Order: sequence, then structure tokens, then C-alpha cells
Amino acid sequence: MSGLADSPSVQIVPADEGAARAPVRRRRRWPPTLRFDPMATLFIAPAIVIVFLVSIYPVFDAAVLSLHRTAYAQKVAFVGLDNFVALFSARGFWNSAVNALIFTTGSLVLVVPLSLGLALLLDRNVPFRSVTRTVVVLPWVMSQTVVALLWAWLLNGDFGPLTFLAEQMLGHRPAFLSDPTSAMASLVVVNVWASYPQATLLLLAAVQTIPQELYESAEVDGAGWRARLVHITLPMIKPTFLVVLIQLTLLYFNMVTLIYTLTGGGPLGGTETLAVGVMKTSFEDWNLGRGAALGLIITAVNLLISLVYVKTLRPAGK
Amino acid sequence: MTALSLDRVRKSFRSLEVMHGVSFDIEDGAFVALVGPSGCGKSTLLRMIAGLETVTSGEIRIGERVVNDLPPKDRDISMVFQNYALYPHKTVAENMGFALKMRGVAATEIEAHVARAADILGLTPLLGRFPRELSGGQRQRVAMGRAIVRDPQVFLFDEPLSNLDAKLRVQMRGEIKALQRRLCTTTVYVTHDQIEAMTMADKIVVMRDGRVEQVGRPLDLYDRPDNLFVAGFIGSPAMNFVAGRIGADDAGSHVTTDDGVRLPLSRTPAPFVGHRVVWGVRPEHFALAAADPVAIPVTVTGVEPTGSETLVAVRVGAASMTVLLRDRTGLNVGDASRITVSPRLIHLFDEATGDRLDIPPLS
Repeated sequence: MSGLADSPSVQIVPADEGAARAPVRRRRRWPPTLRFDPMATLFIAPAIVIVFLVSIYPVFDAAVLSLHRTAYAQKVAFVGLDNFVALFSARGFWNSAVNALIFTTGSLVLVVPLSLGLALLLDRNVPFRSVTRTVVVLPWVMSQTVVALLWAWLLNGDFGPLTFLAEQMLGHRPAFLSDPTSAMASLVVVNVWASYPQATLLLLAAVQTIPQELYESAEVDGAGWRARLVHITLPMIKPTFLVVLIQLTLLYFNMVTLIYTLTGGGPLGGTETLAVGVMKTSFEDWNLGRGAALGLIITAVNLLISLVYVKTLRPAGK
Repeated sequence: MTALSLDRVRKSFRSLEVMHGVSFDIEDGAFVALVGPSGCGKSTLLRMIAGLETVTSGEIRIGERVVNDLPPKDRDISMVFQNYALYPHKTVAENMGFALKMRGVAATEIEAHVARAADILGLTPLLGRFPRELSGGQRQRVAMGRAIVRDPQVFLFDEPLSNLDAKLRVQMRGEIKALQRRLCTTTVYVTHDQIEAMTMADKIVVMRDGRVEQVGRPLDLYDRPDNLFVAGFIGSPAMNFVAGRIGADDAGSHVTTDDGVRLPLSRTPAPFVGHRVVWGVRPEHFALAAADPVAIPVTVTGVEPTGSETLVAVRVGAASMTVLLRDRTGLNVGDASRITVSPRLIHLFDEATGDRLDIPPLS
């Protein structure tokens, strides 16, 4: 038989070229022409009012507040950028920033592979699939406060079952929550436990939308499971992966309830993140001006993180 | 030389057997169409050849090798899927070169292979584009490019034209056939469209319910269908069937329908007289014979002129038939007329078994 290698070079001229040109992407006109349409305005007005009240106004109010010295909720005097200067020159701020970085990165590093692995596993015909899926989702249904209280009991230095188990295995009683380093490690583990279901389900949904034919085609092409993961699964779930990454990063970076309830930011500030710092500065120290300044800094970091993710993970060609 | 051979191939899903001992051989370089209605098992069979479905029993050989237990990548086949299965995040060039990349071929060599396949298929200007930037026909061509770039022993096509509009389908039909002729690669082509099968294939395998009904050259299947199913499936518009009993009298042999209409027949040997049969004639084999007193009396129930030909629906006794006329006709709904057919163009099938009845005509 003969094949491509020794076939005569005869070109099949596509006759559908006319219809087969690449779709022309319509460009939006810029600047957009503004045209007042009373009916359209009426329809979008409720949404605009809600967004303004719950998103724009608080940020604006926080920005104003951050430029004042406050006594409880009252603005006492305009102090310009003093609150920001004070924050940046305080050691506690940098300590909280480093803690936030460790907590966020540590959790992400564990959650992302864990949830991706579970999603891939649940996509297959594992035994008792529906039961397994229910068990996997279980931590998600608990509020962060309940999770924190549950783990506070499990890790309690005096009567926690996990402390007891670890003591039996290691020969000494570990200080899960009473040493700054191990408290941070424990916090990361608890956070991973509480937040992996959400990522798993999102990634599972994405994995399940990948057409089976792509895998079969790759199989015929000679791709093993690793090549199929790298060349099909991961690129195909990239948009969901981006959403999951942004969602988790922001969730971890802004997390207050779990940390505040489990460790209160301690011991010795070992688990105090920037978000917990806002809570403590505003509602323990009652320095709302400085708390607002810290909140604005966190907002800016959030925006920066989202931008970096979108820039680096945007699908090719879009 | 046989390029692909199936020997009593069976497939079961748990206790349900869906493929009941399929056997046929495909010669090297042949274009074979697997055709049959939805659910007949043709796609399953193709996937078994590809290695995407296991074989419960029997043997599949590609060349000299039994491939039953070989993974798809080791079978030396390429497959074009119904939805093309192009990798959406890879460019046309990357899509076409993927299989070679997976085999560890050097990048420069991949580039050369891709360029050559792209040249054959007229894809060179599109190599840098993503699948979403291509039209249906172009995607189809890329899918073929991906298949030919590897120079496999067998091409497998799984209903590759079903997502295209009618005009493009006709055009791509020609392109695939032309490509296959040029490359001379053994091809198995699954389709439910018998026109596609008739126009493209050297050999057709007609399947029903996991069984092979008939294997043969397109016109052999058309001229001498082995059974009622093949007779009804091959040909468009479909063959007309009327059940009746073979009779003979002074005027000659005939088939008398249950409502007493006499249908013509060649002179039939005595042992067949009284046999219950299904009388079949293709619509294009009828002719109008309004003035012939011995022709079949019909009532016109519908007229569909298409320009080049006219489809006339008629009633013969209680039975409905379709007559395809090349000439324009002045027939209208409700008209009474007569049609005639040459006895040598009549097909007879045993009513009980559905098998073709080959009655030696008396001279």
C-alpha cells in the first residue's frame, strides 16, 4: 500500500473558501455612543442602586474614613495619609502581610492539587460514586464558625482527640494551636479541609464538560493519561481553573471568621492576617480610620491579584 | 492482500449482546462503507476496530496482526470523529502534528509532515488558526489532515459529514473520495446515509441490529439485494413492496395482491405457484402506460415535480407506491392511470423469511 509519503502531490482545492473564511470579529465602536433610553434606564436602575449601596458607597465611605482620625464611629479630624503612614511603619502590619501571604499561598498549594485530583477521581466510575461525592461535599455545608469550633475541639491541647492521637503516635503532645508556627500550619490544614469541596465541585463540573471524543482522539493519537491530562484536561478547564484560583485566593486573603474563631489571630500574632487585622483594629481597638485604611489596602491587593491571574491565565487567542 | 479482517466479532455490554458475530474482509486500499440505520452497531464496530471498545469474542486483524488487545495507538489507524474532535486550544498545525509529537517525532520532521498534509488539503494558510476560527468544511478538512499526517494503515471515519449542510456534504464527499484515491489508504467509513455509501465506497457492508445483512459492491447491492431490508435500505426513493401470492394462468405468471390486483411477473416454474412473496420494484423502473390494457391500474395520490424528475405517489389496490418519472407528466391527484414494469426489473422476496427468491425464469 502507499500512503502520504509516496502519494502524488495533488492539491485538493477547497471550494468552500468563500463560506469558509474565519469569522470576522466585530469590533465595538469606541468611544461608545451614549443614548438616553428611559425604558432601559428604568430596567437597570434597581441593579445600579443596589450595586451603589452595597459596593461603591462603602468603598467610598471607607476611603473618606481612612483619611480621618476617629473616635469609635465618629470622624474626629482629617489627617490626610497619616493612617496609611502609620500602618506601613508598624511592624504588626508587615507581620500580618507575611501571615496573609503564608496562609493564602499555603492553602492554595494544598487545595488546588487536592481538589483537581478529587475532581478527576470523581469523574471516573469510582465505586459508590454518589456517596463519595456527598462525603466530599460535606465540609462545604458547614459554616466557618462551626468548622472553627469543631477543629478547636479536635486540636485542643488538653482534651482534643487529634492531640491525643498525635501524642500516642509521636510520643509527645504537639502544640497544634499554642505555638505560632504550628498554629499557622493547623489553620492552613483546617482551611483546606473547609474549602476544598467548592473547588472540587467547580473543577469536576468543568472536567465533565470536556467532550469524550477529545480523549478518544488523543488516545488514538497515542497520548497516555499524563499527556491527556496536560494536553486536554488542563487546557480545557483553564477558564474554570482561573475562576477557582481567583475565588480561593480572595476567599483566603479576606478570610476572617475561621481564623478569628479558631485562633483569634494568635498566639503572639502568629496567625493574624491583614483581614483579621482590619477586624481587630476596627472592632477591638475601635480605630475605624486605621481599619478603613487597612481595608483599602486589602482591596487594592485583591484587585491586583485578580488582574495578575486574568493576565497570566487568559486562554490563548482571546 | 487483506488490510483489515473481522472474524466472528461479537460484543456484549454485560449480558446484552449487541454485535452478533460480524465477519468481513477489506482488501488493501479499498474504501468500505459501513451503512445501516441508527443503532445498528456500525459505530460500535468502528470503535472496536479503533480499539476504543473491547471485543467480547472473535478476531480483528489489521494487516497480519490480531489487534484485539492492542491499544488504539498501536493499531496503526487514524480516526476522524463525527464532531471532528479537534483540540480547541491548539492551532491547526498543532492539531495535525499532535499524534507525531506523542510518538516523539522531531519537531522539524513534524513540521514537514504537517506542511505536506496541509498542502494536499489546501490548509496551508490556516495552519496558525484555532479551530473556532474555521468553518465547518475547514474543520472537517483539518480532521482529515490530522488523520493523514500519520500515514496510517487504515483510516476510520465515523459519520464525518453529518454536521455539514447538504451542499458542503456533497462537496466534502468528493474531497474525501479523491483524497482516499490519491493516498490509496484502506478506509472504513461509517454512515447512515446510503447515498454517501453508494457514491463513495468500493464496497458496502449493510448492517442491522449488530448483524451484517449484505456485503458487496454498491451497484450489486442495488441490483441484487439479498433481502427485504437491504432492498428497502439501499436506493432513494426506496423500493416499492407489495405482498401477494404467485399465480399462473393462460395469460402468464403474476403476483396477485391480497386485494386482487394482478402484478406482472416473468413466467414462473410450477413449483413456485401459490408461494407467498413480496413483490418489489424500484420507483425508477416503472413507466407510464396509460393505454396498455394489461398494465397495472393506479390512482394518483400525489405529484412532486423536482424539475429534473417527477415523483408520483400512486395507490395500487390498497397499497401505496412511488413512481419516479424522468419526463414531465400531466398527471394530477385523483387521476386514474396505468403503470408498467419490465419483468426482469422485478425483485421477489420470500414473505416469511424476507430473503431474496431467485426464480429461474422459464424461457
